[in-house]
Amino acid sequence: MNKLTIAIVSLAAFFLIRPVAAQKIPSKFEHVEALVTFGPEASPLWGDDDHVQVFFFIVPTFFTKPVYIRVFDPETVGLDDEASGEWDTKTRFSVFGGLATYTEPDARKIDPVGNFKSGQLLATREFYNEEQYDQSWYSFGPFNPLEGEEVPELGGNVFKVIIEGTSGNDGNLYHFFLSTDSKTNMAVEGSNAFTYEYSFRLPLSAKVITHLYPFADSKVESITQYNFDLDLEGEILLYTVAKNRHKAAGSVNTKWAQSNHQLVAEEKNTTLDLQIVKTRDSRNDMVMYVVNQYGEALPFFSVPVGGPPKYKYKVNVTYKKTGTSY
Amino acid sequence: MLRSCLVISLIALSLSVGMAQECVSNYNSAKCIEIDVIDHGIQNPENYEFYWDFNDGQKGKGGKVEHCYEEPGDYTVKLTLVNKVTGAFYPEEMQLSVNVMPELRISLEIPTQAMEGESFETSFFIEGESPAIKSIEWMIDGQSAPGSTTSLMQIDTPGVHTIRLKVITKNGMNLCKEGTVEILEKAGFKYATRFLKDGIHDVGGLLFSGNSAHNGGDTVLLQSVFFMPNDMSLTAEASAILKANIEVLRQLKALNILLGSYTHTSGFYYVNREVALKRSKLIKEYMIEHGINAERIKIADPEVYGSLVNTCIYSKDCDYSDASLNLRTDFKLIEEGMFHWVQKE
Repeated sequence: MNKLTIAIVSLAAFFLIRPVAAQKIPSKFEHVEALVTFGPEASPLWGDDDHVQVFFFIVPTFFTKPVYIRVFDPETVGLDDEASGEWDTKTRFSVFGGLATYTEPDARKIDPVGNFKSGQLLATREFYNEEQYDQSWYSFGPFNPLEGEEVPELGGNVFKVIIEGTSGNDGNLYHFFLSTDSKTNMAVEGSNAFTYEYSFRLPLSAKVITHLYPFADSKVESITQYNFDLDLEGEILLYTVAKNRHKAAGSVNTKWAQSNHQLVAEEKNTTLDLQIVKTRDSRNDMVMYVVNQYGEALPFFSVPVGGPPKYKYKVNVTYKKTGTSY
Repeated sequence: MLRSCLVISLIALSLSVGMAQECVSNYNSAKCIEIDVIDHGIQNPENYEFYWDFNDGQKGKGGKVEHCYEEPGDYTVKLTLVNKVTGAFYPEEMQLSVNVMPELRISLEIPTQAMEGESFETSFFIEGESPAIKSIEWMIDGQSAPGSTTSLMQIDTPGVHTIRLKVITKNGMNLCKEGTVEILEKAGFKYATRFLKDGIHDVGGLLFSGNSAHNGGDTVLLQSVFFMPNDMSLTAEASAILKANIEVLRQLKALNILLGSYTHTSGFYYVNREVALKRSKLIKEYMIEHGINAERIKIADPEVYGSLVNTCIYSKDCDYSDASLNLRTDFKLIEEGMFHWVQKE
């Protein structure tokens, strides 16, 4: 068993025994407004550190019908996008499959360096200020699930989508849907999606809580969370089966912040919940990733593996005089 | 004011509750609960407030709260956590299922006195809205005894004995009640009921032991028939008793009987044995004539039933009363297929 297999073998068990229905990405569990990628000329002030986002999609092994990777609002113009002067931004979406798509170590790093575009390019398209795609869906595919990289540890075939801001300085906000249909959103039962570095827009309203769900496998002893450009508009809390909203460091404008958190045995092989609580209404984009004690990135799953964690309160419930002793 | 009691159970997987359920004889004032969050795991608890929804229109606040319900029923208590700094609120942090029961009182009915070796009946009843019962446990001096809503007991040791009843309801209430019974010594004929002495048997809920059975809330008894000395006929009194016994047997269709006629302890043993067997056969024929199936009647042989004599095993110890007791026939209830020595006919 190689190192990678050991690292994710327990994760595989969840997928093999607990099919979940992944729909929209980001999912309803996360309360993320949208995924965000800015053009390369955008200032870090906007909240995107590297103008690249990588998302992986798992199609479960038992699913054999064609799938489509659908993108909502892929262009950069009109509603739901962030203008910075003229609409001059181009964004390239590329779908990869086949060997090394996921298993190439560079593909699972937080930065777009080295051979992160591993695998076989299955489809690609560059979007610009095309108004016909504003508030509309574009479908990549159909893809035979076997065109993905077979990763038994994840219980399925994995596709990778790389989103790159190729020119301009506007922000492209978009969503995904892994679908069985090219024209409508039809969920692939048991599918999931994950990323190692999450570039996203927070909810517009204060008090709405965003949840990001990294999975800690059995070898994770501690985690360090990094976040970029939270602008101190709220707080970040770590919530797990054993930690009830422990405070994590939050970043200021254009800066990274980090905090380290030791995990206990109970938290291994569980999903963690990084909660971002906004304290005022605003548009705010930020980036987040989590690494273990070896500096290896933890995947954020769109659908929390095993369900969202639930802290176990200990409570005494006592009767105020229950009756007369016999 | 309605007086109620509570049973708390948990439905939240995320919850661990320490709670002792005392066994009591009546629930009379437990409509109030106290909830104490002893481990919340929050790093900055000063920033948080606990809000409780008791599901009866009432709310509570704090890590330790008390609440009293007015009406019986099932309630789901929910905890909401609120961050006082950010204003974020977390609904349904945990849930408790609360079952408010009406007042209940359990009573035990046991005789104050009973004779050693003789069966007696115990029963109980619950005042108030009777809950669904999960289990009933009877005990005599800490030892388990058979029985359900009633119990047919038999104690062989004279003295004061403790009868304990424990009823567990399906909603988790433990009702207990204790009482005592004084067992009186049978002076003069210590072994008088050796033939009838038997454990308690259960046939489809019908409890029986020796010559008594408990059937549907009533205890029925097969009475002894007495003969006159040197006489092989049935007296009018004996016939009346036999008719009553026949009526009992008609009710107890699941049971058979073993006839045990006692023998004199003086004189020639084999002559006495023949007399005893003849008396048993006489009774058997009488019962057959009056409609009891012959297959249901067995006859015990005194030769193998050494118990078919009284205390006065040796004639020199026997007074008139003892001798009279050896002029009788007892009726022992048996289940079909039970192993018994019987007279070959």
